[in-house]
Amino acid sequence: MFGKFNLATGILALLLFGYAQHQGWNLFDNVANSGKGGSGSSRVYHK
Amino acid sequence: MALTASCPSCGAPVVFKSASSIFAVCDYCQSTLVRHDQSLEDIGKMAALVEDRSPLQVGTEGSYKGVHFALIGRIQIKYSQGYWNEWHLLFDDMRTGWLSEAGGEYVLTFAQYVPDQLPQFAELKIGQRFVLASQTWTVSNIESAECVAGQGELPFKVGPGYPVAAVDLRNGANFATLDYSETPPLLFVGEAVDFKSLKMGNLREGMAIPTAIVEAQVFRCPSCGAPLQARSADILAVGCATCGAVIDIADPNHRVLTTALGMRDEKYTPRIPLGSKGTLEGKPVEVIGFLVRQSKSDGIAYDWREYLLAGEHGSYRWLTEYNGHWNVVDVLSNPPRTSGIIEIDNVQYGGQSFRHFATTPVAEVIQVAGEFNWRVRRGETNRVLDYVAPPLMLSRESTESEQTWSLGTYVAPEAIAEAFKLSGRMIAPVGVYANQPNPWAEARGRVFKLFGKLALAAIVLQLFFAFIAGGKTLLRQDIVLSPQMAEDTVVTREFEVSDKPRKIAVRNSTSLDNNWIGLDLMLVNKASGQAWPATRELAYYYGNDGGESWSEGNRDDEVVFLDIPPGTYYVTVDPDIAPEKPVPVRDTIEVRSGGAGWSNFVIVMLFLAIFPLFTYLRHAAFESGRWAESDHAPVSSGDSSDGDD
Repeated sequence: MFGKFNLATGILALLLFGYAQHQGWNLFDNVANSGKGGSGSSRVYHK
Repeated sequence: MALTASCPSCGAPVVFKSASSIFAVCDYCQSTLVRHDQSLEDIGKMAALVEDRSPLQVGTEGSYKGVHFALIGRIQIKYSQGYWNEWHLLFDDMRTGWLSEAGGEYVLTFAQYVPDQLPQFAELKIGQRFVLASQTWTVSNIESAECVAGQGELPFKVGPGYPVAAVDLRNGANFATLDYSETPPLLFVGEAVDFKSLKMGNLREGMAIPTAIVEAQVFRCPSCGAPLQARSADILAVGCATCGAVIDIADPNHRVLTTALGMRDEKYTPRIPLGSKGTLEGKPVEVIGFLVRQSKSDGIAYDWREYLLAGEHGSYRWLTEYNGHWNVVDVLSNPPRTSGIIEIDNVQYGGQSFRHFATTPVAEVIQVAGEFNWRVRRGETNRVLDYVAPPLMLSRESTESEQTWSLGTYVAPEAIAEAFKLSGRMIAPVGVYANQPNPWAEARGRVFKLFGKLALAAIVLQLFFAFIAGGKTLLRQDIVLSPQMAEDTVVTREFEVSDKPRKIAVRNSTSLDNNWIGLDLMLVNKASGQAWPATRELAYYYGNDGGESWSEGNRDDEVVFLDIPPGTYYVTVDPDIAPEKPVPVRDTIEVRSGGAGWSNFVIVMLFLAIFPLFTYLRHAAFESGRWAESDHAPVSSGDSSDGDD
């Protein structure tokens, strides 16, 4: 029982890890924008 | 060649099978006969043998190391704890040997001449070690016994009262006896043997699996009148469960060995009632004796209960119980080899290393009930050393005259309840026992293995995202930011962001040299003009202060833009050069898409480590509880300061 719980939890942790890596989430990043569809902190710019 | 002569007393034929046999006891009239060439001299009647449960008899045959032998004689010896038999063997190769039989244990020895000076009987002490016949022996038993009777052919004269001063020596499985009844003493060397391995035939009828061969001795307790019984001749003492008196069964008047318990004596009740029958490891056993031992440490009394179990083939086992923890215990015929010098050294036995757990200087019998195969007395004491390799425990018990080793195996209380069909009698175990198996040992191994596999999978995933499915470089461009262009903005080459909205990382690697620079960055979508700004400030200073190099800040910086839609982009850089040091700064701008970070990897590894860490701590806590009860418990600071004093 305990072993199955460990295995299930471990696999779930790996799945979440894989998803987070795929999404590019990283706590160590210096994020410039809040990151909601390019709106918010973005602005229109012309050369 | 066998010599046949007539008994001078009754005329019956007397056969000497062995040339070394000098004495014989006539099977018919019990006359003790001395052999003189072709004639026999009758030197008197031999006393009758005491009836016992031995499955052997004169005429029993067997084989040892492939050589057939026959039992041609026997000496029955009485010692402080009962009787034992020395069977005289004649092998087909004309060697003679001795098969010692005591309490269901068998030892086969051969006389061995050694030129060495043998130690004096009075000089020997239990546990003493010395070299003899190229082996290092430990004295395990010192006995001043006497012969009860002889039977069949014997190589020397025996008779009732014939003194037998013997010292048993052990060297692992090897066994030796020094027989001081002759001058100079005789040395017999051999080994403990298993009854079955001797493949013996012509055993006493009905005794292959010995049962009580004498009527159970039923009598009344001389102290309180309660009815008591002794089931066989092996039983030498009976403890009265009613009053606690211990009675000598060998004594025809049932002498009281120790008196009844006093009014103030605590009386313990066996958790398994005397007479209970059960099955241990598939073999039937019956509880025939119960005793309580006690040791004291710092004024605190610790008591434990021991149950004597009668098993098959006249064998005996023990059950011990302390605070609800049970052990099945067998006396070892092959004691472990030890250095014999430092008692707390590990002991090797059966391929395992046993660690010293505790030494009990004085363990005293404080209550006796039921039947025992030695003359147990209340108040008798011994010294006990315990060594553990859970679930096993080796115990060495020694008195002034004897040293025995036993091997205990921890048994769950439920297994004891099941074995004896007990219900509602078992108490829950208290604390951790010396050889109690650690319930986290298996889980720890399993969880560590699982953690290893999951951690490996996480590493593989991380490497996959970092090097295979990770981001790619979209732009790499070197620019120079000079003070003269303070009002200008540097615009990079264009680059493509494909697929779905991605994370874009912009990295600036500068040539700052004891300087700082401010960078107003802008990620711009060429088609829509939508821009994502970021302001960064980089500073890097270094120097040498008092001979020590120092540095602070960083020449490099990375900023991340999230959810950037596909399209064509460029980056603008508006520098803010330090006015106090207006020098050009080289900058390499690198734009990458995606890319696996390390934070998630660190988080998942920390999360996965929780499981082995948890089981490790639980395992360690259990072991800590075990060793806290030992002689090797961690010493508190208070104790150590006492010791310093």
